[in-house]
Parts: sequence; structure tokens; C-alpha cells
Amino acid sequence: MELRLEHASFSNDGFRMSDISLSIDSGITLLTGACGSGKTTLLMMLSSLVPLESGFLMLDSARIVAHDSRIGIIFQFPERQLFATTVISDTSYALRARGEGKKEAEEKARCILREMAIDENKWYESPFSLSGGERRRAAIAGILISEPDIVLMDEPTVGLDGFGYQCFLEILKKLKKQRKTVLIATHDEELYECSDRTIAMENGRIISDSPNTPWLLSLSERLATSCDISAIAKKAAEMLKERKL
Amino acid sequence: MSILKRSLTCAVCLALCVVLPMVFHAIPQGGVLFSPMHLPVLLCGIVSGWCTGLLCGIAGPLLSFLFTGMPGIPMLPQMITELACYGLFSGLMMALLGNKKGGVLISLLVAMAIGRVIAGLARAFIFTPGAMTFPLWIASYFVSCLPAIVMQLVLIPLIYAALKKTGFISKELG
Amino acid sequence: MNMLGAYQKGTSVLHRLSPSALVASYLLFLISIILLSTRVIGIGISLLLVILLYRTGGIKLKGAFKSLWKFRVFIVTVFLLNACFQPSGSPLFTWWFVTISLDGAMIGLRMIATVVLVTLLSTLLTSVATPVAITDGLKSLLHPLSYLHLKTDEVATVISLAITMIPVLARESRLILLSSLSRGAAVKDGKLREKALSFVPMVLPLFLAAFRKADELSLAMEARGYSGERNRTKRKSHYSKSDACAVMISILFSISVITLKGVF
Repeated sequence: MELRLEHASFSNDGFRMSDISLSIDSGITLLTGACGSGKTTLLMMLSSLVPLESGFLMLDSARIVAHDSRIGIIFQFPERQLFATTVISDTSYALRARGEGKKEAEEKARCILREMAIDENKWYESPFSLSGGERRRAAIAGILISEPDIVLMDEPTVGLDGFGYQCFLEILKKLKKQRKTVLIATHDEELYECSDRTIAMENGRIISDSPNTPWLLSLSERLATSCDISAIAKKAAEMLKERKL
Repeated sequence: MSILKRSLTCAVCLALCVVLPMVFHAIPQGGVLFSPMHLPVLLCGIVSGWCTGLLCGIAGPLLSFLFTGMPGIPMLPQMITELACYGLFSGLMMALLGNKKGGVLISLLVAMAIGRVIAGLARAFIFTPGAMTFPLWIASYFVSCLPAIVMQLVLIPLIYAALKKTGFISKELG
Repeated sequence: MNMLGAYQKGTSVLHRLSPSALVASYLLFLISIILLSTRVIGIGISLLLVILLYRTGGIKLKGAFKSLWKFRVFIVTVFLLNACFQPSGSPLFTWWFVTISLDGAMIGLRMIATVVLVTLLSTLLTSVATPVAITDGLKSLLHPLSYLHLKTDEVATVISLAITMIPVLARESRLILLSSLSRGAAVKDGKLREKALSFVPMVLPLFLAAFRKADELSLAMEARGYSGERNRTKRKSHYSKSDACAVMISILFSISVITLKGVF
């Protein structure tokens, strides 16, 4: 499913982005850039949760003017949005909010909590009694349970331990297999290998947008791991332009 | 709770007195009906005591007026009086009831009742003398505020329970 | 963010006053206006004062009247309550239990005039000083109370911390609200209790975020040796001749009002 921004402008907390055009389709796309480059703002523009000041958002060639439940967004530290009295009621909230029955919603919640490796004994406890990593996975479960076709993520791997990271990679693999459209704003270079495309941003503008190819991976090795992937993406775009490949 | 933590609790509740009305206005149907400023003041008194609750009740509407213009200057003295009473009496009642079951709910009910009586008297004799009658007091403090009263009685115990679960409030405080 | 009268940059005398002088003068003029409001001539004097202050501050009065429009319902209600329910011997109009009297109408008009003048004065204050400056001014004025063993330093610290947290929590609240909306959170129609519960996903995480900040900040401050006790570095205040003049003028005006009120 294709999500497209056309000549869109938006201001967030004094930071303005103008005339942004971007299209994302099935697969995993990384959105990189220094802090303050506009990654979160771009995600907000793509989420259909905020009204654009100009331009428009298209989902599968149809214009979106209000929030579309086919777009799911996982903000940074999603565990901070937990609120319910039990893990299972928090996870199933999105389904019950759109009218599904409690029994069916909780059944789906159990499935997804199992996939997220949350201990069954904790499903009926307060989400605040979970460990940090478990809370993160429970919060992500609460967003993915509604099976959005487009998944936007803002720094999903920040603060994750080894086990949590592996669980997250499994989620990504599953989303890729389901041919979902995934856009991840991140500084995490390890995600590079499982992604298909990298977009780099700087000062509210998209400075490069290129597919991740095997030569690019070896380029990153040649440039050494101390370089951040936005620099790699920028370099790759320059090389493509100069047709040095 | 240490003095520093009480002060910081008061500071965040003061900040919420400014932020919450903005949040509620952004939610469809969340506007004036629900008196969002009352929530952090009552919670401040319950969580950190009568002293900080009183400060939150006095400074909260003032800060909100300075930053957002609401409540308007004509309503400001009345609102300060009402919220100061809420913060003061919710804190005093919690100190009295402590760990007892239903302590939060009883503290809320007592604080809201006394606060409304004192606010009504202040309006009748100080702020708008001659313009306050008993039916008007019932109408403006109970009938029109019923959604807000229900909101506070439902939300504050839930928030308090969540704060205890996350360890922000130690179990000794109740 | 300020609906009343957003700060307008300028170089007028009022803009250059120190926060404490500005707030002190405002409070004195406010009290004077309230005291003068019992007579028509007093209202006239207050109006002249307000116009003069606006000209001194270089702020347009037209804009200030726009912010008054927001309180039109309150103003009309005050007038009607006084006009209809003030006991009087000279009724103008009677219908059922409602009697509009001349005296009541006059009292109502005087009350409206007071509300208008007080609002105009407050709008001027928020137009020539930022919220932070006004709060600094209030804190300075409260400082002498510390000699009566009142904890004004702690109050000042709490208010300063609150002001720094406002933009942080405002930003966080936006993300929390968007996140809740993306999961389908919405205010439900129906019984009040259900309606209240539908606010939980939007409000509870915000309170938890706020208290988490308080927790983290208390640990950070303790780690840096802050304990809330006195003997901390105090910034020196700088007062100019204009500050002294402004405060003197407002004191003299207030004394004149009180004296004349006593005489007449």
C-alpha cells in the first residue's frame, strides 16, 4: 500500500517543513538524520493525525483528510502511553475503541502478546508492573493489534536490551513478510541490513532517498562503522548522481 | 515524601494547570464543561499535602491566566479562592484519613463540598456582592459542574492508583 | 499562547520597567480603579488613567477591546443580575418576577465599567511584559515576606520550575494525545461516567509523564547538591529612575484616591 505526501507543509513546535513530497510503499524504509532534522515532524505529517497546512496526503491514490486507521504510528517511548488496569485491556483497547467485542478483542490481544513474548502470567496484571522492555513490547502490541497497513515508527529501538531488540527484529521480519509499508525514523545502523530503502533528512528537507543495495552495504563497511547512515545515504545519492557505479 | 519531591510535585501540578486546559480544548467535546484545572490541584493536595495543594490552588489559575489568558481576570479571584480551598482541604483530609480505604474519594468529596461553599460565600460577600443567590449557587457550582464533578471523582482515584503502582507515591502514604 | 493580550515587543517606558516595579504599579492602579468604581466620576478618572497608560506603553487600545469581546457573556450576565435583582424604589420595567430598576441598571453599568477597566489594565500588563517577567516581578514582591519566616524562596523556586516545565509538558501532551487518537480514543457519548472514562487514555499518561519528570528531576537535583535550603546565590536586581518614578506615581495616585474617597 502506497502512502504519498505531495507538496505538504506543516509546523510542529516552531519547526517548519515546507513543500515536502515523498512516497513510501511496501517494505521497510529507514528515515535518518541528525536530531532536529525533522524526522518526527515528517512522521506526524504522514500519520494523518494532524491537518497539513498545505498539500495533501494520499493513501493508495485516495486523498486523506482525517485520521485513517490503516496508518499506525508508534511514537518514541510508546510505553509512556500505557493507561489501562491490565496488560490485556490496554493491548485490546484499539480494537474495542473501533467497536469490536471484548471477547474477540482480548483473544487477538492474547495472540499478539504471545508473539511479543510477554509472560502469560502478567497479562492480567497492571502494565505498570512490567519491566521496561516488557512495557515497550506491550505498548507496540497495543498499536499493531489493529493490523495497520502502514506502520510509522519513531526511534523504536532506543533503550531496548538484547532480548527486546531481537523481539523487535522479529516484528520487523513479520511486517516485511506481510508486505506492510513500514517507515522507521532511527539512528540505529543495525537496522540498515534489514531495510530496503534509506531517506536522509537535514534541516527539514529530504537530502537523499536511495534504495539499499549490496554495493551500498559494502560502501558502509568501507566508510567504517563510525559514519552514521544518513552520511552513507548522502554519499550514495551523490555517487548515483555522478554515475560512478 | 521529601520537601524537594513535594515541591517538584507542586511544580508539575502547576504546569499541568496551564497545559491541561489546552489539552482538553483540543479534544472534541472536552472544553469548558470539564473544569480541567481542578484535576491537578486536587491531585496535588492529595499526593503532596495541604501546603503544596494550597500553593497550587492559588498559583495555578494565576499562571494559567498569564500564559493563556484563561480564566479571564473577572473570574480569576473566584477561581483562586475555589481552587485554593480544594488544594487545602484535599490535603488536610488525606492527612487525616491516610491509608484508609476510600480515603482518596472521601478527601475529594469533602474538599469539593467545602471549596464550593467557601467560593460561594466569597462571591456573595466579596467578589460580586448582591449578585449571588442560593439557587444561583446551586446552579453554577453543582448543576452546570456535574460533568466536571463526575470527571474528577472518576479520574483522580484512577490516577492516584496508577501513581502508586508505578512507585511515584510510596505505599506508606496510602 | 496568551489569549488575553500577547506580549508585544516595544521600547516604551513601560517595556523598560523592571518586572517588580511594573507588577507593583499594576497592583496599585488595580486597587485604585476598584476603589474609584463606586462613582461615575471615578470611572471617568480610571478611564483616563487607562488611556494614558496605553499611550505610554505604545499599545493600541483597539486590540485590547477585542480581548474584551471574549467576556461578553459574563459582562451581560453581571449587568442583568444587578439590573433585575437589586432592590430599588424606581422600577423601569416589570415582568413576572423580574423587575428592572433604574438603580439596579446603574449598579450593573458601574460593575461592567469596573470589569472592562480591570480587564484593559490586565491586558496592558500582559502586553508589555512576558509571563516570565510578570512572575519574576511577583516573586520579588513576595520576597519581603520571607522576613516573616514565610517560605517565599521555595514558592519562587516552585513557580520557576513550573514555568520551565510548561513547554515540556505541552509538547509531551501533544504526542500523548496524537498517540491516543491513533488508537481510536475519542470522547464517548452517553452517561457521564462513560464520558469521563473515555478521557483516561488521553489524560492518565500525561499525569504519569508529569510525575515521572518530578521524580527524575528530584533525583537529579539531589545528586547536584540541591536541598531546598537557603543561602543560595541570589541575582542582583537593577532598578532605574523610571522604576522609582513609576512606583511613586502609582503610590501617589492610590493615596489620592483613598484620601478623596474618605473626603467625599
